[in-house]
Amino acid sequence: MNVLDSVRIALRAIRANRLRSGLTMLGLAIGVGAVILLVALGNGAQRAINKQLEDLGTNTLTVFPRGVIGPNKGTQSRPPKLSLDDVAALQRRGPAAGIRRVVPVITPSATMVWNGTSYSPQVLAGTTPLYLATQNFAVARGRLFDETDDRERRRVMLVGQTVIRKLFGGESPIGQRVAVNGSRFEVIGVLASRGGGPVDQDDLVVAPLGAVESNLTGANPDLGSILVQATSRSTIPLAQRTIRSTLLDTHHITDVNDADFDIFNQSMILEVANKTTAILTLLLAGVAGISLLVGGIGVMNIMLVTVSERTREIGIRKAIGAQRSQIIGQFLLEALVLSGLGGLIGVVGGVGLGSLGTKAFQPAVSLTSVIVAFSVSVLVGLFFGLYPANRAAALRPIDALRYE
Amino acid sequence: MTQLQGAAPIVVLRGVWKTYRLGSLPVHALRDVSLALRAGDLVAIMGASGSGKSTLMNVIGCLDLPDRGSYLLEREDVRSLSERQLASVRNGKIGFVFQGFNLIARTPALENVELPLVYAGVGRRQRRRRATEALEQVGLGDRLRNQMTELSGGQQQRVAIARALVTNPTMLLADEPTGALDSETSRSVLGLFSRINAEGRTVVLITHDEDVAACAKRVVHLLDGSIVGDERRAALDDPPPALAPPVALHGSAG
Repeated sequence: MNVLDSVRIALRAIRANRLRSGLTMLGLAIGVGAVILLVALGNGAQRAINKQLEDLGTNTLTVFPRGVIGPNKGTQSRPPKLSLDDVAALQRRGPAAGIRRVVPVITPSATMVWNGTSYSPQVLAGTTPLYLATQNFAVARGRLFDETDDRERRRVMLVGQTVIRKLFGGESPIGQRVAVNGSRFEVIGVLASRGGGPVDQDDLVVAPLGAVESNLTGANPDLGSILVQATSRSTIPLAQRTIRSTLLDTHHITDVNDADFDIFNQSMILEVANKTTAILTLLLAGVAGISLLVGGIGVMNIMLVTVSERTREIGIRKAIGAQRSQIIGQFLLEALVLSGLGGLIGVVGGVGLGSLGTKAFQPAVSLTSVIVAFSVSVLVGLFFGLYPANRAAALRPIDALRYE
Repeated sequence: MTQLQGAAPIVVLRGVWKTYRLGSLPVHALRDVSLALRAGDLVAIMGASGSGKSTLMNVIGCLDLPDRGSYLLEREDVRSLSERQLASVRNGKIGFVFQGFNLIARTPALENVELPLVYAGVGRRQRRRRATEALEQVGLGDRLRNQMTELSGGQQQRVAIARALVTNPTMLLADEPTGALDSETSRSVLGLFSRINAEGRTVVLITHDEDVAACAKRVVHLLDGSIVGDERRAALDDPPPALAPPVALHGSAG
């Protein structure tokens, strides 16, 4: 009796009870599919976070006036402010103190009007050309602004994809003149999309600091934030210490607890988020693994029912000379075929669903999860099929034949 | 099978006891049964329900072992065999035919007949050929692919007989083979057994039915687990009574 014969006998028995076999397979299919899908979701989340990490610019720290992020304890003698003087002070510290670039950002609230439509972007950043490089912004069409634009206070700007949709109705805005709080700015470029995440990163307008200063805020404005790029990843802590001591100094604050600014290490937070997601993925996989186990118990349940329902058949088989091992083989193989087919259905379903996704979020199916989930389902079938198979084989032929 | 082999006893039971427990009460299903069956014989073991004839069939068919006494099947002591060897004996030396047919449901006739050969490890092609031959032998050459639900009771019993024959066993062991069949179908199935016997194969029929016993060359009567009668109705070398001239058949059928 070769394996092929056994497979044929097992398939026949499974086909004989289509509904029951189907339901059993469904249990395992859901388990396997859930493992693959949930791991894919977790992977997708991790990838999204990693992409954001890259997008944010490498080795970048952001300084905010206290109260923008986190609570303001209200112990300062004057309202927390960051100025171009702070930028200059930080620039003076230079690479020796871990600082490579310092980029001032002013974020006045702005309302843009074009062709009778008005729109207020989430962020209008008046900044230097370095901002775009530091934040890894790329231009989709048109051009970025440069030092000359900034120096000559040209009223030019770059717009994000969301702004194009909301203000320009999706048309190409390059060369268009837009009234920003009453001043006309020319659109010279379109920023490449950075996609979603918790915050729409495409709802953004970037203009040269000088032009924003002279047209929207007035001279020596309060800064919305200062971007500081450290010389390398390893000097981020040094840069952070430099920023703290320098700004405490320029703000004439002696006690660190009275600081009127916050230093925000975004990449660190995203790294934490990344770790959290990894743990979450494991957790999800664990939950899905339990459903896989439950599916396996389903297989055992069905196989036990099958054994008692087919006691007479087992008796016949033994009477005509089936060996104990052949009976075990038959029932084990039935369990294996059930779990294998169920696992296969789960793989197809899980990979299929895991390949769907929106532009904002794309799950990533991992080959490892597919292999592991499928192998586990087969092992589960083997393990939970063993007991029923042994019970079937242990039946004495006369008892089995007498069974009605 | 030659007449020379036909003379040798293939089944030798000596002082066989078999006791079951019904609650705390011992029930002696077989009491000191001694019996020798010769190759080529057509034997009916008769008895009422509870006489122990089913237990005797289980013992002869190696489905159950005697508690006491000895059983030699073709000179081999069955009690000394392992479970594995017993399965092989059932597979190769004994062909069972049951009252309720005991075919595998939702499986075509051909595959049912092939099954003993599958367990014997016979290759697919040879299996198919032998199973087809066995089905042709019982007159079902045109029903190879039919499911059991598509066959009449008589046809199902013929499939069961083909399955019993396919391994070319030492003897055919039939337990009330006509119990579930109408009288006409019964006669044709019994005719089949007679023909099989006429071709030289040993056939043992276990029955309570005198019509069945009428086909036998030798009739053994069981009562309360003991043999109470043993009559030879036709010589071992004679053709089975059912194949004798019609007059004799009519006489016994009444």
